[in-house]
Amino acid sequence: MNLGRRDFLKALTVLSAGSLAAASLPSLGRLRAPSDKPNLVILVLDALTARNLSVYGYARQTTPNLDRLAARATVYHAHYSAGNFTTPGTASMLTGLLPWTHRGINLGGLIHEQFVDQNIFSLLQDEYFTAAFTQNYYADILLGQFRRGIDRHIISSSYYEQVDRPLLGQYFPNDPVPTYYGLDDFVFSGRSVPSSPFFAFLADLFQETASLEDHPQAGYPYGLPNNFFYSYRNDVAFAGIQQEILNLAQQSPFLGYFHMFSPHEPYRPRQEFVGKFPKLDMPFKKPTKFSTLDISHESIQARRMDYDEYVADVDSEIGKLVDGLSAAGVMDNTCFIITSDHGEMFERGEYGHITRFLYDAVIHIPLLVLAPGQTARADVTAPTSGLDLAPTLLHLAGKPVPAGLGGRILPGLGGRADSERSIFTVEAKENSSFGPLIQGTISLIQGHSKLIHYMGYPKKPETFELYNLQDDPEEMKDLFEADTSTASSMKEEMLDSLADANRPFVKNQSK
Amino acid sequence: MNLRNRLPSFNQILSAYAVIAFMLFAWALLWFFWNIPSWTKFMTLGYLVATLSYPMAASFLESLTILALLLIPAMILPAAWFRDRFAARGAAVTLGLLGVIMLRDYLIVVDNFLLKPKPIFWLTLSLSTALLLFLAVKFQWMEKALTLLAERLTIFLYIFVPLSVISLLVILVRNITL
Repeated sequence: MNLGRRDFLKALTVLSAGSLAAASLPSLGRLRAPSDKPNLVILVLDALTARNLSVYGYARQTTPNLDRLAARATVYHAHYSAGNFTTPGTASMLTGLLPWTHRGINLGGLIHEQFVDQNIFSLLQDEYFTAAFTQNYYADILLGQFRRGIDRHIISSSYYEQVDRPLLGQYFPNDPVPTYYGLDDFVFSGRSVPSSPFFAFLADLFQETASLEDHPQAGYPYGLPNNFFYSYRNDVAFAGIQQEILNLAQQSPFLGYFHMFSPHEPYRPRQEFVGKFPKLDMPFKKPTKFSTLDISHESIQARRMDYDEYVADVDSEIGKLVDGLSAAGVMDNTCFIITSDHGEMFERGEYGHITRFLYDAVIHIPLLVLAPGQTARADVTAPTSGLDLAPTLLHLAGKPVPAGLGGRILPGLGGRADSERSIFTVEAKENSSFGPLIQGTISLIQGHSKLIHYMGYPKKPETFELYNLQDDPEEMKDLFEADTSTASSMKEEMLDSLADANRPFVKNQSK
Repeated sequence: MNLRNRLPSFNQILSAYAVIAFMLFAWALLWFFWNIPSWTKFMTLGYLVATLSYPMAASFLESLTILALLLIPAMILPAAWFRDRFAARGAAVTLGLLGVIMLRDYLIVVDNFLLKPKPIFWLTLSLSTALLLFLAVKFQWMEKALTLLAERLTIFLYIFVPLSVISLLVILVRNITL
């Protein structure tokens, strides 16, 4: 038999995945009696900004499938993530706490130990079979922290096409955090210096990353999608989670968390989506104040085009997934939630989301909820937060919401719309998780007003900006000096909340 | 044929191993400490110790792998070529091979891609190793210097070997499911 290197690596991973699956059989065997509680599925599309989705009014028709699904869903028009990158956004969604509380504030950071068992998996595990999968390794670190509450943790590299380096952490399911940092991101590191030069050298010899990652593949003119650890095909990954959900439906009720890496950068749409959209001069050339990258407007617009094409590709997979589950009857008793962990920005001299900015593009995320039996569209315009997912899921499961959770039950799913509530987003990746927040950006949304505070940046003054999102959705006109009454009341609330959040850490410091 | 007779003496093996271990452990520790400022932002001391244990265990296995690869030619080739001067010539090969690989990895991190093209890398790797080996064979002073270096580095095994054992124990304990 002629077995190529690629076939060999695939066979190795299938075998290892099989052995891991066998190891988790006792938990899979925890069958439950039929229940009238709805199944809960959360589909997270990484770095999906609401700003670039036609379902939220974007000029390019990027999401025809979400548009179609919205006809029988509750659509949240002012939904905000609690952070502007994976760790805080995901941790807040899963714990119902703000980043300045759970402290998952750093790139690839961890939440503090006292909150590890306060997550949707642990809170629902007594009545629900819980399963989780993510292609995002930062999110997988968090799932590793939450592993006590997860009955089935599907390994991150389940649907890969080509690994960039050996992924050894999967062989140490009891020790996910040190194996990520000590092995997968260090021994064979592709992002910095590998700590094992000879092993990394051997690994390089036995892989063909370049041929798959950076060069055109069948149907993928820019190369295959890649999550910095392995290359994959979206159709294969989405088909894989569809099968997982169908399997989970055998042990109803279940909670399934599926966090896909796409449409995160690198933006690599399939051929059929390339050139799909006409060029548009959009939206506006915005000021580049505080930008650390200062990329040209033209370059940013080109990136926006790539992103939009990739979003359209991902949208087609969402459509196929939901249609497949509907055809199988799973949707009849499943509350299906489509959202993101944070947005993506293409403005002000920057693109992406590793930024100090908290403008709407990077924190305004989609939220669509397809409830069992829902046949008509409902729209919620009151502001909501990623924190609201945890209490809402508990409510849907018929469980009481613990007092410590920061979010609220979503309007339309048992909660009350409150257009004046305060929605915070925190960007603090440069701070120590164990100290007070002294450098970063905080935004506060109240009604149509949005206050942004930049604090502690080297060589930058302490700054506040105030925008009216109704009159000025592109956040072009700073009203902080003009609307002093709104500015001062929101500033006071923000600084008070920050002081409250910092208090335990200020005490620690002064000891 | 007795396989043990084909092996270099224990002291020669130990000296060559000391060079391998020193290069690998020092390299891993250097980059571990380089990462510490970012990791301490969110890792507790316990997590840091656990995180260190994996690269230390990997370096231990890596050093044994390289030693095994060096012992193969020592057993196959005529004794005078490699086995009888295993400490010096093993050290020369290790310095050449690992040195160039480490240099390439470091240069890439500082955005210098001089050694990234495969032909240039392989050429540099081969030439450096061959040159060091040639110098060790041709010049007595080089052989003496390499032997001296290898013998001096054995002192570090008192750190690296216990560190490896502790690391393996930490990994074992953290992964035992009771």
